Amino acid sequence: MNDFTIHNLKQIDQYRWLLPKQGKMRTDGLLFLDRSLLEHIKNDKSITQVANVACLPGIVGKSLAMPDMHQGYGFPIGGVAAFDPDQGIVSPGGVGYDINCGVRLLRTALEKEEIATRIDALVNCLFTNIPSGVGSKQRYLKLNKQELKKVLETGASWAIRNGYGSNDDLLHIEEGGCLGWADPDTVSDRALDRGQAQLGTLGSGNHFVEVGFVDKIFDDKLASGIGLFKNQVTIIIHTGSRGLGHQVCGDYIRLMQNASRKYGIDLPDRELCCAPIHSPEGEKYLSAMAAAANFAFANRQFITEEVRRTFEHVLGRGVKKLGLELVYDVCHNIAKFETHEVNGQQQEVVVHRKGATRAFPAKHPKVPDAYRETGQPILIPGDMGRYSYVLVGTEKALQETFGSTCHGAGRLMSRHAAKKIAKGHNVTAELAEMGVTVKGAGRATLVEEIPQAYKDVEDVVRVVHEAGIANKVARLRPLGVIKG
Amino acid sequence: MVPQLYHLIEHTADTGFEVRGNTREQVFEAAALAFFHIMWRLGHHKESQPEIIEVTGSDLKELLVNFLEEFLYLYDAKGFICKKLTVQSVTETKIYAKAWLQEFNDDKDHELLGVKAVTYHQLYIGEKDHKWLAQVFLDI
Repeated sequence: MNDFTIHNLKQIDQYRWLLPKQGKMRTDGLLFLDRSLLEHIKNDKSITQVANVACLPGIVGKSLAMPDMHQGYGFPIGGVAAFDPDQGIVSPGGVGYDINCGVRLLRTALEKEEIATRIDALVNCLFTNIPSGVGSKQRYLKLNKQELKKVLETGASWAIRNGYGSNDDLLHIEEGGCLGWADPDTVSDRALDRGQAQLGTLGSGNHFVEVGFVDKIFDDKLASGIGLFKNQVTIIIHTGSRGLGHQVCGDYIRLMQNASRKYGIDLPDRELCCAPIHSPEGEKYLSAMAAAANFAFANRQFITEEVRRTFEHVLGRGVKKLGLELVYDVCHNIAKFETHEVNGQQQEVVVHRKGATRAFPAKHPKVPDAYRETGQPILIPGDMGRYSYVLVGTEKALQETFGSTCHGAGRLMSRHAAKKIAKGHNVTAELAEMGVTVKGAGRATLVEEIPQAYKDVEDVVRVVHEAGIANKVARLRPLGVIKG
Repeated sequence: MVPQLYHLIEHTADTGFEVRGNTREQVFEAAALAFFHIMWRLGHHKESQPEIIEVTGSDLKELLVNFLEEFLYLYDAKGFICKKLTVQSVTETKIYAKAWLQEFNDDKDHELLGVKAVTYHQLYIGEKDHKWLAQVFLDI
């Protein structure tokens, strides 16, 4: 297929661009962007990737892209696509290598002044307690394979049963912290080998734990509805399924290469390899992907408890007194069975979200009781120097994007370009001047992850808010960050 | 002599590399060495006994991905780095190599980049004018 560019797009309104169905596309593409964000993608292949996804069998609705879209492997990052369970396919490339990479937000009863003198101690202690960096491993916690399989089967609740958190946490995690159709026996030994010592580790790249505070409230009612107030100390955890998930994705991309041929699926790009949802290969992938997703839920749960213990230790107060509660945990690399309205009828579909977040509205049955009136909380992390956003899902998202919205800022610069810009700069000292204490496992990661290397997340959030596929609730500013 | 140079290809969110060789074996070897160079900066290790690495794939592209993934697995799951490598033979579906593996040592070895996976994105391996060329992108 030819490459598609911005010239193939038709502007619908200020924030919506249509990529009309053509060639082998089975449906239109729909991109949520404003003109300035459009500039960022004009030289990459993400528009072609939206078109490629539209070519896949059984796609329902449009091939969607969120405002943080950029070129990915197979699907674009920021891509959302739903498939009919009987006619459609499932693709590991529609989920990505970091299965169930996601974000969780914790709130406290503390105001930022109360930790002003303790932030360095908190960051240092978090850094000691949470293994981070490339190839980070647990020194003392290596699960045997039998136990690891229990993690894969039960997700966050495994962590809770083993003393890492409370049952109340489960109510504040997408899907209750467990995809029920997981089957650990579909996960290879190699993937298990990679996961054995990685539960409760952060990993590298853009993964982090951030202590911050609520610096701006956009909607008082929504903010109080999800327990946020001005100057409140918050914690964000961003990580995924680590080596275990990467291996699952790689294993099934290998399997799907053959499956695509077997089922005669015409692939515009090898990374889009896929299989019918109810084929043996499709079902096996979905079961393994769910197992890896459960590992990620357990991983974030585990880290949450380390955060609680660290706060208790450094501040000398109990978790209850600190009010260290989970606001919500969202996945942004996932494929899931969900029920959506398609052509006026409720239908089960498999929604792929790759670098996109679920954004269900108030009163949706999948939204926990605590957020029935507000809508599901959505966490959009920005770069380590600026800010992150808390949003809630909307009815419009449900109607237009299978209940999905953006997931982050997206890179602006290559890693090499970031290194070049950071040359001669002391990144840690400069961030400290901005009021952010940073501790990273390696200077390389810190340099590659400098704030200038990312788009301003506010530009992305503005589009989803204005387009109505999420509502702004609050903005969080970092005080201290541990980077992988 | 294998040309050990590689060309780093970077786009906004992508990291990849391009390598060349006079033979199929050389281009596989060069790809692995480039991969190691991108992932690690290694200190001095005593020479170890080589191990045979045997990897299969349904075509050359899959073979290349599987070959590099083998080292990623050895590193991520077992903590092994590779100090030295010779590729002995490459057919369309099978590769034999000798790898001198060592345990990663926190005191002298450094990890440079967290590679999640070796991808099929814009993957290329082929022969042109009696020179072999390969291009690989990594998920970071």
